[in-house]
Amino acid sequence: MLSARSIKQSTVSLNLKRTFATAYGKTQYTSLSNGITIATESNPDAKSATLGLWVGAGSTSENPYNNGVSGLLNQVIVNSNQAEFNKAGLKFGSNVAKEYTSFFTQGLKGSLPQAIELLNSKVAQAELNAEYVLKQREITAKQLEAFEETNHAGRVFEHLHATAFQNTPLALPTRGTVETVSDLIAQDLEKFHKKNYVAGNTVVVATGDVKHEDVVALVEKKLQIAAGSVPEISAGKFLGSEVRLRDDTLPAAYIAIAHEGEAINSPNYYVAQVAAEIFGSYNGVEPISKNLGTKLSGTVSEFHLADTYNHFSASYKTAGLWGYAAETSNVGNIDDLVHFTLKEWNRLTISISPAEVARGKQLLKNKLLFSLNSPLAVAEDIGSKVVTVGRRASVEEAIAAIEKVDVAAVKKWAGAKLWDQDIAVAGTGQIEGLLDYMRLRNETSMMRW
Amino acid sequence: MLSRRFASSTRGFATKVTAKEFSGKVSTLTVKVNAGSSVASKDGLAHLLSRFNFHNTTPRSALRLTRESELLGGQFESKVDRESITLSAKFLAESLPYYVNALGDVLKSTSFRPHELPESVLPAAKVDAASANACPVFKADELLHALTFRSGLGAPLYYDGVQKISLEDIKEYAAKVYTQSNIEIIATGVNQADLTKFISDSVFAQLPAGESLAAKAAPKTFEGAETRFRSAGQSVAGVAVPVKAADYATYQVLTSYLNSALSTLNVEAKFSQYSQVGLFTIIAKSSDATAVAADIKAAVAQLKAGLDLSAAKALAATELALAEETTGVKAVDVAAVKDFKLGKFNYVAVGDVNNLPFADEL
Repeated sequence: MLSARSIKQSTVSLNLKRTFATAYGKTQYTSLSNGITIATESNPDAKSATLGLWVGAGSTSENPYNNGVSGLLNQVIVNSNQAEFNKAGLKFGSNVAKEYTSFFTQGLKGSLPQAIELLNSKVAQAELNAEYVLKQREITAKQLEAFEETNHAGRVFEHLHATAFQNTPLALPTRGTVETVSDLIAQDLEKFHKKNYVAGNTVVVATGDVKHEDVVALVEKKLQIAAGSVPEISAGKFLGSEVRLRDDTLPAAYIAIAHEGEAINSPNYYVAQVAAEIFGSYNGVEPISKNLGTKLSGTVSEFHLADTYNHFSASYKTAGLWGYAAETSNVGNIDDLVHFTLKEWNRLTISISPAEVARGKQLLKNKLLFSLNSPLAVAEDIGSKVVTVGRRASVEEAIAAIEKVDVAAVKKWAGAKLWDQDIAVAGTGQIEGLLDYMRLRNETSMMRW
Repeated sequence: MLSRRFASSTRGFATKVTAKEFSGKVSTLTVKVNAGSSVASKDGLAHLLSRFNFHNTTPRSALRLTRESELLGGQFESKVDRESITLSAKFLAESLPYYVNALGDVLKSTSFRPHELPESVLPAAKVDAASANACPVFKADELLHALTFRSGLGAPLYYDGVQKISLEDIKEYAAKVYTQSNIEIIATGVNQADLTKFISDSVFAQLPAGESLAAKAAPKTFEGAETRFRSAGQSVAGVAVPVKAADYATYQVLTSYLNSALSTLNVEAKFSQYSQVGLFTIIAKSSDATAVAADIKAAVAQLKAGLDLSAAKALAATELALAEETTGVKAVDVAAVKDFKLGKFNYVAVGDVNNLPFADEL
């Protein structure tokens, strides 16, 4: 394990040696006078350069009447211009999330000037063709329909947000619904673009085979984004509640249960992450699932209480969710699954052991390091954090923060956030056996232990 | 991955050991065994052996391996493809000695307990096969391999129960393929000298010498065949051509071209590169079989007429550089690539075959 001392030493050696994407190159920041932030992390060993715009304009920037506009705008821009990027030898990709949307290019170093020119003309100064928007609207609606019909776990996760954060921006589905998207026209997209794609709301991220000064010079010269500051978005607010979409024609039950979690900037961000990692995830078909070192996986495996489960600590700008999503074909024992899960969560407050916390910390550290395995992964991490909360913890900082988490911190956090606190519940499929809200709510604490 | 320093050594014993060094905290250790589905004497044998990896070994039970690995935060997995079984582990650099020993034990002293086959290995293998075969694109890919290579690379990738496999078969196969000359060890994020030392002190050095089972010559290939497979769900039509090693660059660029927005065709291209031969496939897929028929007809017509690939060379170079970063496979030079014309090919139709064309209608 890493002591604080060894971290310090490795920071020193970093100045002497640049590293690969696994990846502790130093992130360099520059803020231009027009409000654009530039963040780069160079790696001379990389063979490619990733350059992208992260814009703070996801579904939280929408309202119930134009829900899905950020995703549709993203699709229109990417699909109508993909060929031009490809001609220049660039791969053009994008991502839509609740709080941001991103457009990125991957190419060789020499293509950077072209990449920034194209990002400027196609994203920052996007011109939309009304007919093309209608065509993409149809495609997007079809994709959303397929999502509703086939991705049950994903749908439950969206509904979990919708009920937990009801009447706040985080409740809106990330890519909208078939109904809302089918009403959008080019003017809606233009209006959204004009309001949100402004300098103060944009971060330029470059990683891999890039130099910070070069990127800054290119952005200054070639990227023209309308001036403007971050549009105001009201905060997410958690409300204990439930939504059930029972459908006995589906082959299993899909359930998600969550407590209020931590925002990205919260001092307890890493405590919540460690707490989720203590219980981790489970996939019944893998032989290794029988051997995992958690009591919950042992119980679930022995009595086949679930097919899969996955604990998460999802964090956003102003709020978060902490909980798990489970899928079970053993629909007669859902009450047992939920009971044993919540009793395990109780233990975070009263009897979690040092060994369990140490194991969770180690798994979290590795997960963090494993995830930064390519220039694009590094860019996504930098872009998403900087555009939502203004800064990104370096890898060393994150590891030091995880190191600091101990049993007392976990117990204190769980005592405040989980013990006898409201929960949000979402489920679909054969959920007749999912007990009523008060029964579940009562399991968040116990009379004796 | 990207190499700062690249070193390779075969001193001392017959296994090729390669280490790529960089100063990050994450290391990977990969043992590539020439024991994939094309090597095994019975169909599915390679898959079952791969699924047997990381079960109980004489010095270390599966439970102990999982629990110890959790405390170190590492991850391990075993995967099978047509040419090899690949055991890999991902961990923080300081855990290297542990994972060298753990992977060595799997190769040297897996216990092959009788109850593990029916209780743990077979159920997992059946799930792999069922979930893969539920995908019509995988099904088409399997059939195209079978048409093109018949045996060897044409053998099914996963265990399907057609050939009976006993525990003895798996044990014998393990003894045959887990030998010093038949495995290659590749590590990233570790020091070459450390790695060589750990490995020569570990059970890897106690494996029998054996001989390499890697393909030494290009296999015989067949063209002009077709097959049809009825199934419910999405429909797929696929075309495949075997590729000689000398033509790899052309097919890389062609694959990039067809998968990019530069091409107006509605098909997906895939280039499976093996050590002595490649297989290039294009696949049209939709829930509407008539759309699939139109797509595959348009694609074959355009490729038969000939294609100028120069516009896609820059994109292919980018994609190869990205692949080199993640897989470490050295990028081929695409500068000399010019154009492409489709000749004889193999054809497969999967799904609603009543509405999918025959090969002679393309």
